[in-house]
Order: sequence, then C-alpha cells, then structure tokens
Amino acid sequence: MTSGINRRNFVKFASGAAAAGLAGCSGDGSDSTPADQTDTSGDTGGGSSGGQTISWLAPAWAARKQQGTKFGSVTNHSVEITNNNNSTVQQKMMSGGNENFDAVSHDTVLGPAFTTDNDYTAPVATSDLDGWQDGKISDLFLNPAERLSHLKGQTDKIQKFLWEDPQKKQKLKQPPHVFNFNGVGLNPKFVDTSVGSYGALFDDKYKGKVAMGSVPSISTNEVMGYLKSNGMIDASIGQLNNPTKDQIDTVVNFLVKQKKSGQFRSTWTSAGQSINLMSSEEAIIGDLWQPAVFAVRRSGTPCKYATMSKGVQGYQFWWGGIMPTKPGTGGEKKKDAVTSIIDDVHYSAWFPGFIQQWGYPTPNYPNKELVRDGSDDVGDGMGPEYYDWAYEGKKTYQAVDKPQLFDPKTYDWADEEGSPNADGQKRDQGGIEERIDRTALFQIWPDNADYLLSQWKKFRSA
Amino acid sequence: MSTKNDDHAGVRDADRWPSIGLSEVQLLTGPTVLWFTAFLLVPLAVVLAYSFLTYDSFSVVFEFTLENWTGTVFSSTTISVFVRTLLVGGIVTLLCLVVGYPLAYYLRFYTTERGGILALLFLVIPFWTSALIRTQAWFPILGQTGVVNKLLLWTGLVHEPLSWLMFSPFSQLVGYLQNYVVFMAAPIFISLSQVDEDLLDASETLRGNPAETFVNVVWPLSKPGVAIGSMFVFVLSIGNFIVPQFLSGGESTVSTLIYLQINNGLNYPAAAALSIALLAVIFSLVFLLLRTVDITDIAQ
Repeated sequence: MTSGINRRNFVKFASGAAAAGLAGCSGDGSDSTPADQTDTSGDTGGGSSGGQTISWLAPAWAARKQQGTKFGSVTNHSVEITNNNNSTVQQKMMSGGNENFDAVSHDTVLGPAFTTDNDYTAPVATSDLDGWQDGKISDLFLNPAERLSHLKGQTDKIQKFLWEDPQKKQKLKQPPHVFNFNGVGLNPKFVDTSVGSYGALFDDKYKGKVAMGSVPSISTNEVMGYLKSNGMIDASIGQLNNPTKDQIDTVVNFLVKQKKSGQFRSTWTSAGQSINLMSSEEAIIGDLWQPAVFAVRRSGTPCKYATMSKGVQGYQFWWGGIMPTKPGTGGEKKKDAVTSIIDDVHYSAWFPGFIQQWGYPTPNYPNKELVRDGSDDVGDGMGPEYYDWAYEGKKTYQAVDKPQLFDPKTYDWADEEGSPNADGQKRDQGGIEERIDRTALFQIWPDNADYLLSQWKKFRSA
Repeated sequence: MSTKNDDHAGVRDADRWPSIGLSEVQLLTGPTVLWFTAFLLVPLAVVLAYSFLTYDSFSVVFEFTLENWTGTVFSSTTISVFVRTLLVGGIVTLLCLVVGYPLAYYLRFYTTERGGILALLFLVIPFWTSALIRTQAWFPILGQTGVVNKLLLWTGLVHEPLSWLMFSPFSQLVGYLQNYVVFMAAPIFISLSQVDEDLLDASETLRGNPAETFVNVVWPLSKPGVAIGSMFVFVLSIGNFIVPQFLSGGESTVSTLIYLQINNGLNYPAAAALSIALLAVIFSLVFLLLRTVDITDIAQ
C-alpha cells in the first residue's frame, strides 16, 4: 500500500477540498466526496466541477469501460471512450483525430504512424509519472537493448517508438500500459501440446486445419522466422521484423504455395474470426492473439497458448500505449488529465490484475510491493497467487481439472500467501522473464510496407 | 359568372403558362438533380480524383500519378480477382434465378395474390437482422460441429465431418443465395403478376402444352422481372464484402481487396482506383443488360 501524499492523493484531496468549498458556498452542506459527485452516464468515468472530461480513442483491447470508471472514481476527471478497431483508430487519427480526441491508444505496428512518422501526439514526461521509476518498470522498456539483446538491431525501433529523446530518456513518446507476446494457439484435443514454433502452422499433420492470420505486417514475421530456421531465407535476426523486397517475395510465394495446397482452413483478419475458427473446431491450430485464446476457452473449446522455442521462431513482442494528442481539444489541462489516466489508473495496483483477464502483462509488474502485495486508491493489487501465476510461472493454489479451459477471470484467486498445488494450472507460456527470453521479434510496420501490401494481394487472392 | 378582369387574368395566365411549366419542371427535378449531384456525382468525382493521387505510407500525397491504375488495377493479380469476382457474380445470379423463378412462379400461379405478397414478405424477415449475423449464422449449421454434419454422422451417411460445407465455394454460394434470392424472386413475381391469364388460356386453346405456354408466353412476359432481378443480384453480389470475408477460405474478391487496401496502410488512392474500376465494370454490364431487355415493360 502506498502511503503519504503522492500526486494521486494530492489530486484527490485537492479536488475534495474544492468540492467541499463549493458545497459550502452553495449551502448544500452535503458530505460528498468527488467520487460521489461523479457523472457516470454512458461509458464515462466520473467528473466533478473543475475536472476535465477527456475523450479517448482506442481499440477495445486498450481501453475498457472499467478503466474509465476507475479514472472517474480516483480523480475529479472523467473520460469518454471511443472504441474502434485498430485500423479505424489509425484512420481517424490520420484524418484529424488529433483535434477531436485528447488521448489515443495503439500498438507498435500502427501507432508510430501518428506518434513517430507524423506529429499528432505529445510526449509525456517521466517526471509526471509517479509509476515510472527504475525498479518499478520492466527492463523491457527501461533497458530494451540489454534485456532483448538477442534481438540485436530490432531494439533500435523499441527505443525510437518509446522515447521522444532516446538519449536522455525523459519523455515518453508512446507510454506503454499493456504489452504482450504473440504466438501459436492450439486445441490440445487434436494437436500435440509440445508444439513450440510457427513451423506447426505449415506441418502436413494439420493440413486443412490451420487458422492463418492475414495481417501482412504480423504474419510475414512469423513466416520469416520459420523460413530462417529452416534455411529457406537469407535473413538476420536484427532485421527479421523488417523484411527486404526479396524476403517479402520469398515469404509471399511460400504462403501462396501453402494456401493453394490446402494447408489453411481459412485466413483471419480480425481476432473475432480467429476465435470463431478455433472455438468451432474448424481450425485446431493458428497464430492467435492472447485474448483470443481466453475467448476460445470461454466458448467451451480447450485452447493452449504454446510455449514458443528460443530463437527465431519465438514470440512476437509489442506494446500498447496511451498518448495525449496534439493539439487535442483542450490544451495543457486536458493533457494533464491524460497524464493522470496513464499514471493514476494504468500504473496502479488494480490495473495489472484487471487486464490480465485478457492475458496482457503491464509494464509495472516489477513493482511487486504495489502490484502483487499492495493496494492504492484505485483498488487492490493482484495478490500473491494471481501475481505468481501471471508473472512467476507458478501453479495455482487450487487443483484445476481442465487446465486448457482455465479462465483467470472466473478463478477464485487467494488473497493470502499459499502453496502452488501440484495439480494446479500453470499459465501458458510460463513466467514473464521466460517469455521475454523467448522473444524473437518486435512488431513494427516494416519499411517496405507498400511493397509488402502489393505482394500480399497475391496471397489474399490465391 | 366571369368578369372582364377574370378574363384578363385568364389570358395573362395562359400567356405565362409555358414559363410556369418550365419552372415546374425545374422545381420537380431540381431536388433530385441536386441530391444526386451532391451525394453521388461529387463524391464519385472525389473518389476518381483520389485514384490519381500518390500514396506514401499511411498518407495521401497530392501529386498526380497513374500508379494506382497501372500498378494496382491493371496488375495480373487484380485482373484475376476481377475475373473471379465477375464469375462469382454470374454464378450467383444464375443460381438465384434457378431458385427464385420457380418460387415466384409458384407464388403467382398457385397462391392467392395476397398469399403471394405475404410469402414474399416472409422472405424479407431475415433482413430485419444484420447481414453479419445472417452470415455468421451458417457457422453452427454448416460447420464441422454444425447441425448438418452432426446429422450426417448420426445417420451414418458419413464417417467424418464434411469439410467442404464451410469455408468453401459451397458455403459462399449458400450465403449469397440466402441473401439475394428474394431480390430475384420479387421482381419476377411482380412481372408475372402482370401476365394476363387469358393469354395462358389462349395458349392452351391453341393446343400449346404447359412447356410451350411457358416458353412462348410466360417467359417472354417475365423477362423484365428477370432482368431487374439479375441486375440486383449481380450488382449486390459482386460488391458483397461479408460473404467472401467470412464464408470463404480466404479467397479475395474485389471488395475484399479494397478492404485490404484500406485496412492495412490506409491506401486510399489504390482503394479508390479499385472502386472506380469496379463501378465501371458494373455500369458496363448493367448497360449491356438494359440494351437487351426493356425493363419499362414491367410498369405497363
């Protein structure tokens, strides 16, 4: 539990005092707190006089109603969340969204179009973020070149996308609030659970049963890894996420051949499609996103997120961030409110446990005092069992009959320390450090994207 | 009783009549012309203009280029997708005609007029829900664990689920048929409703058998309905996005290619070029159809 007066407490106390003053002036005399006065209509969080209402454009994976509600309950601000799919968020931002919204969220593939290539977002000073401190944020972000040294040149883009000032590291260009490691999902009823590489997607054993992603900037990476590990392409680890035109040709020709041979049950372009394919058992293996795995389980179909091998067929790392837009709708005051939602809600004790229901880790997981064992104004931390399961690769305290149907959302997590059960469920992919070690790629929008898209039509039309 | 003044007024009105008529025509057509100009011609002109603009990684650069036409529309990949799309449109139209014509025929000649209209309305009921739901609804029916496969397995007719029921040309045709058969059946029904039954009696009197009566009397008179229905089905099916996106095994049609251009990279110029090309192809085919059949017959 954090104590003393930090910025979050100060905001709450100051707004409380202001509200009390206003109440006194009006003769109301009610003993209300800012949280009590919040406007909870629609999908907004709360807000009282003096606070700002910010508008937040984001894909659903980045911004959910509960995040907005928490924001309203711990500050005197409120937020209106607009959820669109990834490409629509990008589309809106590239066509004037920076003037209509105060905050935007996106990943490292499509986000840099407006954070790096275009000047539509404003950096956030780390000095304004209580939660961004050495030892409290993952080395993935504080020191990616060292923590992901096996990715070699790929880490340059991490620095470029993360920092406004990569040398000084005082201003964050894309402040992370969630991140993940994409891999392969499989139905253990039909697929060997020891599968640990993208090569399984092209294995004859699963012919006609594969759900293959048709998201060119992502799907190309996994094929690159497979081809490289089999000596079928000339590529180096440092540029595995940024293929040359020749490499794109090789990848697309390979995929066209696979598609024509009937390897894929179908291709998917949205998470919903991949969920449908796997939950209906039309496909039994595919390159899935983590929330899709849980969604398949929630439909009653077993699904395992494979532990990927070390090397070039490992996980694909990405992160999602919250960025203040430039100019936004209300200048510095609203930018301060956006900074507040990043820090007060998303670097809080509550958020890591909330978002882990969809499988996403948060950058502040090393802050065990807060995230594992602590609590703050926003809510309680994860507790020992949930944290150790999510980040340490330890089994649950209770036995779990059907581990491939395990759902962290419905499991009753212990608040007190306990012992992992031999028959408990261990999180797919293992502990967080193991996942980081097995990362092969950092997801980006490649330099030869125009060429990639022109060639990708061949795959789509095959 | 008219007065002198009234007479003069009448003369003045008569003098003015031609100019009043002209303004009436303008007033009557004006809103339509304005509407189509503002919401059809101008947007199309913008789309056409965009097809000649340069694309540069998520951005549209206002520099003239033919790249979107030479590099995208006239590429061998796109041409093959166009051919596939038109083929799909043709097959779907034919299929809808084969299913829709007998349906319309039955409703016209074997039910009451009110019953026929009521039955057609029932065909519209699925459209009360979204196209996406109508399409996704085939998953639990045609899927590996769907009703059809379970029934086939239960009866022992097959020993493993039929995979070609879903994510295949079959599932696409089923999806198109479900969506568009009513667009074929309704105009044919209306066309057949105009058929004077005395003509059928006359054909019978002249010793025409039912097949000859159909070929020589009913079919020619129903052609305007067939033409309108074909136009609807063909145009709608080749522009459909949901069926190929969700019921195919991942094969593109022109509409999914347009989606790919927008969804990955925001390549509006290439998407605009594809859209205009698709529009031109559709327009040409509809024009050819209208040169063959006079659809105004349906109103007579």
